Amino acid sequence: MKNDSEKTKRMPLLDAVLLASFFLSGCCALIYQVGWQRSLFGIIGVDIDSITIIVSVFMLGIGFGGMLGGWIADRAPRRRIQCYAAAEVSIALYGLASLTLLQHLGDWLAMTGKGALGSAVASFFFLVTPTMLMGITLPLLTMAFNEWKNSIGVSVGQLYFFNTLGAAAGAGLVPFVLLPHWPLDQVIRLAACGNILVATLAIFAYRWQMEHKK
Amino acid sequence: MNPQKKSMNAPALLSFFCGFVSLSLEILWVRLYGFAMLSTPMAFGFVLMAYLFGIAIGARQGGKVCHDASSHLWLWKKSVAALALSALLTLLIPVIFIWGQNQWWRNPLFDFVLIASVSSVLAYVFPIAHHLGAGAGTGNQGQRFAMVYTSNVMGAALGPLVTGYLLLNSFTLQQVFFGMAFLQLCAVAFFYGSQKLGADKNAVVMGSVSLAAVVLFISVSVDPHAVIQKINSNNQVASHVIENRHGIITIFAADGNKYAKGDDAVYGGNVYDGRTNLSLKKNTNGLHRLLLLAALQPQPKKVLMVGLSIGSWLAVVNGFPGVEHIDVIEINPGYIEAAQAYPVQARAMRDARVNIIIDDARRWLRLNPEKTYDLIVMNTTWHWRANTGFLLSREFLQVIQKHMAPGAVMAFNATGSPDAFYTATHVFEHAYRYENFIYAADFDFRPGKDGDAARKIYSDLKIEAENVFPNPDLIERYLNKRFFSIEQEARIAGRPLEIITDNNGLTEFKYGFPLSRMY
Repeated sequence: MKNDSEKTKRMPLLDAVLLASFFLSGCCALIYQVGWQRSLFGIIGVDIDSITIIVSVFMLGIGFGGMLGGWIADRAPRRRIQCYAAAEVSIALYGLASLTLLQHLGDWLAMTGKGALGSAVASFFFLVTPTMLMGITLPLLTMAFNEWKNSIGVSVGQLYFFNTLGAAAGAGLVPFVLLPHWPLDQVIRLAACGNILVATLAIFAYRWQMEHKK
Repeated sequence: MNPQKKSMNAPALLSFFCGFVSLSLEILWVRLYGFAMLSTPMAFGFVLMAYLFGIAIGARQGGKVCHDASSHLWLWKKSVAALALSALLTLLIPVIFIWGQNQWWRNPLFDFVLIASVSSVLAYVFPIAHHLGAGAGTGNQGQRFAMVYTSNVMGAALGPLVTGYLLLNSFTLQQVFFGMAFLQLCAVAFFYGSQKLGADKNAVVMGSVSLAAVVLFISVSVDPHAVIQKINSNNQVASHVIENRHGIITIFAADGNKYAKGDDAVYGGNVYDGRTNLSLKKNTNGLHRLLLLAALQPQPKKVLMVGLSIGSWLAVVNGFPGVEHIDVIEINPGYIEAAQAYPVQARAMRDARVNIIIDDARRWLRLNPEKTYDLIVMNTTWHWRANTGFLLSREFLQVIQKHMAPGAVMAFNATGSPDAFYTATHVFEHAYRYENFIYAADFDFRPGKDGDAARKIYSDLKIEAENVFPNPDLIERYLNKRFFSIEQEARIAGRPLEIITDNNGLTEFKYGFPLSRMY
């Protein structure tokens, strides 16, 4: 009885920490999406071809990441939150490196004179890694959540709610708050800091969970 | 009976379909709201924010339903009902939105709620589909979850390809809205029938299919541009509308009778883009700003024009003395179609010296580094429109500079942005403003305007054998207009001027057109 009581006390806090982290994760993801999309426009052009390539690759990356996240969730059931934290740290590192990568990408396209196909390939390789990492997070966290929720629908509904709410906040922050005050590279660095905070919260949640299991 | 046993992939298929329709509707709303809000970058952010907020709310409600679910059959019924409601909202919300745009009380919250409601209904299905696909059974639950999730994202990935790239190039925005409603009604019939959700299966399937047929019939019966016509920024009805994947072009005959016949106004993305006027007497499109280039560079053999619009300026440049070749880069092929209706402009495009390229200017210039020009002219659109910063930035002006032959002059429309002028002064040795145009080069070209040679060039200028300047007074009037220096501009601006870069998007965000001005 005491354990059950402890559980009911602790789980809401664990929920809150993970949901807050996933809110922030969604917010950062949208900052990256808008930021990278704008950066790529400057390199590969702003026509509908570029927009289609960028948005499709973004979604494809998240899709592949989703598959990978589900696979990892089954293979490493005890380390789901750790894997989630690792994915967030990786996104942050990529976010910071993306500024240099974009510069090289632009130089390479200018030097080699690559056309539409080259631009599409370059965009694909630039976006596929971070978007896969973003895609990994939802299945991992849903499966972790489901350990005490026991309902996939409830878990994913709750997580998706906070993640997408964060994404909505990110979508609004970029044009209305961030870009009017800071240039794009600083906005992307801010998102990277956000991912580090997400990972920290996840590690905190993981330790909490382990302590509870003991 | 568990419907999942009959069709294991049905939840994934449902998830895929919802992902596709959801992202397709987002694309349609970005276009509709963006058109209503004059293509400002904030419009895109606003739609994205509202749409994602709606998804969050919908997913939340869907998750709650899973918690209370008595059976999979019940959840399937909820999902199909949501699809039916979404089909109705797909048709209804754009109508309400347009009606709201013409009311005195129009406000962003109203638009926000409308857009969010569209996405919330489809997002409601998202957790249900995951619950149906991964909730039951043991083992590999993560992978089964991932299958449904990835299906959703893959459907979403098809949205920009199928809807944004293909459908919007063949059908109008309004027709694609109808198409999405049609698809959703078909999906209602399909899922209700295939999952055997009730004894009334045949009636529901037949009803849905019949409704889908009615939607299709209405879509081909009504004016395909009716939605767009209701929200034209000048409150007039366009005489010609061209919709393609690149955007929406509207043409207003004689600008609603404000001007003489033949002086039509052209709008791109619901903002003024140019006019068909070719007479300097009327000069409703500021032709003298272009004509000045003939005085500043008297022998322009090769000319580059970034942007064609309706082709009036091309017709003028064709008459410049010494022009041997003109490259015109236009991002939207719809303008070529639009210009066909105007004989002088159409003939200008067919001129053997003219080469029209459909491409993004920056990309094309990058791919053709060897091309150099004696004159480069960009009648740039409003500096606050989405992505215009890429044509005004230091980086782009540096690209332009590399394509300028010795003695070349370039000019662009700063549309009132002092920062665009300031940026040009940091790229070129000489940059000056003449009305709202910035003229720039690496030599002092100003004496070209004031000498007798300029008067001679002006008096000889012709458009299809007709003198551009009908009398010497007009020549004097336009040549006597003076250049402004950046120091004078800074005093007028009354604030420190800043350099526009690709990185800061200054004219779009910091000094852009606030969305609040639209309400």
